[in-house]
Amino acid sequence: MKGTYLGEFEEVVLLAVGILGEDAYGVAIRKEIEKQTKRSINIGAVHTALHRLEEKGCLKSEFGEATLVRGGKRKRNFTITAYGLKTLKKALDLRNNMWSQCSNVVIQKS
Amino acid sequence: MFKRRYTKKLNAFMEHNPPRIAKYLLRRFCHVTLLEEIEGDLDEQFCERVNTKNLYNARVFYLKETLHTILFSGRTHEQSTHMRGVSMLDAFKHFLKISFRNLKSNPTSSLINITGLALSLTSFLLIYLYLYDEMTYDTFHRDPENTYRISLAYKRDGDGVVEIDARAAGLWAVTLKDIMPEVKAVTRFSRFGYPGFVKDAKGDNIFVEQQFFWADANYTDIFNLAMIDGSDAAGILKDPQNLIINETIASKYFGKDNPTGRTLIYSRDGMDFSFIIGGVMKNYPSNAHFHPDFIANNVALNPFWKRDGDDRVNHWGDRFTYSFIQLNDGTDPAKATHVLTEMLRERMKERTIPSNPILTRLTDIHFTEGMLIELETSGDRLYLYIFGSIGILILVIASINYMNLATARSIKRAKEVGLRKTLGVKRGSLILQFLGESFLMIAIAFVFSIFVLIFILPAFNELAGKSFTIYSLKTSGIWISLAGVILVLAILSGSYPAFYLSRFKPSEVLKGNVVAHGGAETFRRMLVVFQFAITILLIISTAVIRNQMSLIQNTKLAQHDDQIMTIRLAGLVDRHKFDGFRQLAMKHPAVNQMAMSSHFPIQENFGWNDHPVVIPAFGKAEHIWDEFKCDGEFPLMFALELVAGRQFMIDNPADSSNYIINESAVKDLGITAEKAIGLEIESKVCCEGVNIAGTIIGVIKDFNYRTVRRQISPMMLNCNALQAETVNIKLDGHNYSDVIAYLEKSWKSVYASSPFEHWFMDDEFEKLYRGEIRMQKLSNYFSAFTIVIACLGLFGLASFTTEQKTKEIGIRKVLGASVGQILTLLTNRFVRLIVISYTIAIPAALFAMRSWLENFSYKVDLDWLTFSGAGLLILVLTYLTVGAVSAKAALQNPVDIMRHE
Repeated sequence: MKGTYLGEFEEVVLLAVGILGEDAYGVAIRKEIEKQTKRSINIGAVHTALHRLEEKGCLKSEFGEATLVRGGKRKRNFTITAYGLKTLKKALDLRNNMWSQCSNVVIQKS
Repeated sequence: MFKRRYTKKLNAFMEHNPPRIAKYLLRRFCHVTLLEEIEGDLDEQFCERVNTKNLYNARVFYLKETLHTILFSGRTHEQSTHMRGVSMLDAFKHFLKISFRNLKSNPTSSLINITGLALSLTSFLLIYLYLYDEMTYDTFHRDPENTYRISLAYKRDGDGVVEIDARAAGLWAVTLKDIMPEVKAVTRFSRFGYPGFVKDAKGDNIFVEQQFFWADANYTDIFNLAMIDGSDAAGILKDPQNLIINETIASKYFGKDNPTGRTLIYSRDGMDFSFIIGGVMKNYPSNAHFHPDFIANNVALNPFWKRDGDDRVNHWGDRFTYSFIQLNDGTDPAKATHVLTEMLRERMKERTIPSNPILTRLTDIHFTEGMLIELETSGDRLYLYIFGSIGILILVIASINYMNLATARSIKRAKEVGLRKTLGVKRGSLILQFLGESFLMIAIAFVFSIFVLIFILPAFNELAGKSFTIYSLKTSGIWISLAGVILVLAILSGSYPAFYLSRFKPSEVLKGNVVAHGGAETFRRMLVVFQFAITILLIISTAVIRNQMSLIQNTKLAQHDDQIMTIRLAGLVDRHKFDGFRQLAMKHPAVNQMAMSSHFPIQENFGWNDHPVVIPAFGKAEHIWDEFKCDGEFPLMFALELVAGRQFMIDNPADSSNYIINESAVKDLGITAEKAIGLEIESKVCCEGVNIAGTIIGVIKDFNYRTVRRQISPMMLNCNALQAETVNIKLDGHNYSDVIAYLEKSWKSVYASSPFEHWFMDDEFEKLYRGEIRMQKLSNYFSAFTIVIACLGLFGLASFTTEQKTKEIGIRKVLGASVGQILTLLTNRFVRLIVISYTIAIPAALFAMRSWLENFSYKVDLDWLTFSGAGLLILVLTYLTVGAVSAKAALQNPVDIMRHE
């Protein structure tokens, strides 16, 4: 259970990696999340989540190119693994499934 | 390696750099495998921010993000799944938790430590406040560092003793300003109220006032004079019709009414000087060397001072005013002294007495001793040093307690250390943890000490003569030094456990091989010895000070000083009506005796009592003797013992030209007491050239009529009640309010227009020995503090060793040892230490007390009784402290102790 469970923030990060495709690294992911969720987040938090996801096997990473703006430091580019996709899908299914079971009364209220 | 170098090179291409501290922190705390990508991300964001916002914004953002990453994202330390790092915040939380658990698991030693540290921090704060206050005398005036007072040192007529008059003649300062451009400002004032008095317009309130200042109009050029309503003091002072009074005087004469615009009259020698109150000034702070109650322009008294074609204020020879000059920044006061000396030499050619002016910096006046006619009793730097060192010693004693208890418990904690080390904790963080623990302890103690401080501040103010509040802590910049003290204390107390415990080898400890180090044991003993040496030193000092004070208390005049009330016979008191008052007063049953005399005890700031005396039988040589006036009752009242001749006869007018002299005077003449009787004596009353002749009828033993700091001079008493300044009334019983009211009523019925100004003689002695009395009270308190702290430490240590020895005790008891033997076993080791401390403390105490007693001409002997008494006291305390702990262990049933084996 522990291995497959995705926290809310982790899910958002994973989705952002999916959106970005090729160019998914720290700063880009952070920007994407800030754009989508309209909330301000810390780069450290992004890194923590990324590495935790890699540990769980949802992501894999490799070093990219170094640029001048990065002070000569390489990026670490992340891509979603098959397991990662499966986990995301699972989370989505769970949500859809539960959503569909909500009674109409509740849905109309909103 | 390559990567680093590459990084550096590229960094140089960037126009702006992120904060260096952030870079440092990141590289220091971020795990090396993660460093590259995180730093890269941070740099990229930084570049973007520099372009879109500004450099400052970018730097702040960079720092914020870095700190956040380090502190809260523990995962940044992570290398891979199997090696977890801990974020700094977590580590800190862990330290704190362990520290608190330690506090809780050893309630006794924690309590001992915290109490001791809190007490010592409280005394530190008190001593700091006191010292700060003493060191900042007169600094509330403008530019006190460049302000100097002119005084004059001269050789006395006759015997050539050098004396210094605190005052100067009025024209010196004024002329100096004219001839020396570096002198920025000058001002002068004189102070006197007595023998005049102050009354309001109706004459309802009438008092003798001592702090009446007659100042130049430019007083505010040099001195601070803040009015309570913020009005312009200089403007008020310009008008000689005006008078400025302080808050105390305002409520004394006018109660709650607004005094501004009301009238006060200064009355002297039948002349009335009427003033309009121009405003009320704030009271001067306690750390000022003079405290004016009234300030008036000295021009107002011109009719008085300009009599007979002479102007006392603007005079070349008459040292009448306290004169202050203010120099430009950077001017050497020696230059001013030189100019002044030259000026005086030129002006006063006709004067034959060698003299030279002395400049005293305003801030130094408080600590300048031995000047005559000083405004207030001066302080003694010695006491500051003594209090300062006591403060530090108390801190040391408390931190020794901590060290001792912590090392004593080290064996228990050794296992913890071993376990931690096995789990990979580095020595550095162990040291940090132990230091952190002592820091925590001191922080808790500090919070307590603030509460204690609030609690005892009123009592402290009372005995130190200060007016501190908890807010005084705010103003005196105490926090910096306090932070320093706490830091030093934490490191000092924590250092031994930190460095000693963290050295343990895990394998040894966990096998149970660690026995208390021989070195640690010796170290602990040394600390205890040191601690008790200090305690014994303080006890002995307290005892010696007490002895000296009781010597003072038993001088002739001071013996019954709390029973003797003194009334001042002010200028208008008609001495011929005095018998009427005497008869009325004696009717009250509580009035025992009445005697008229000069104002005793003689205070140094009263001025001169000595003048030349010629004994015709011994040729024309002048002797400098003190002369006092009294009536026939006076020697009887104070039980002055006769050596030869007779006492004055009461109600014998012929005795008014007769003298009783003391043994020092006889010695001055070089004859025996018997031979002195009947000698003719000629007294030259100063300045008037009138010789008064009389006969010596008696010789009395020397008695201390002024401070015992000074030698008793040759002295003569003249039975001339008409010139006496005061009447002393000896009272019986304890409750005096009734008899004082009665005396006042009698006084008013005889002298309706003269103020009834009275005081008790013990107040006068308190003024005389203010420093010593303070010293005595404070040393009482502080030595009590040290005794408590040291005994707490002893208690903690004893309970620890006893706990260690419970099994030994059990075995010994089984083998037949008696309770007494076990008690001896447990207490002896401590008693031995105390004996060693005692032998160390004795020479230190001898040295310290000898140098303190140097101050006094009349001093107690350092007798062995004091020293052995102190030893006995500390021995009893040790037996009680250690015995209480040991008795519990010695009385235990061996079965209870040993059945767990």
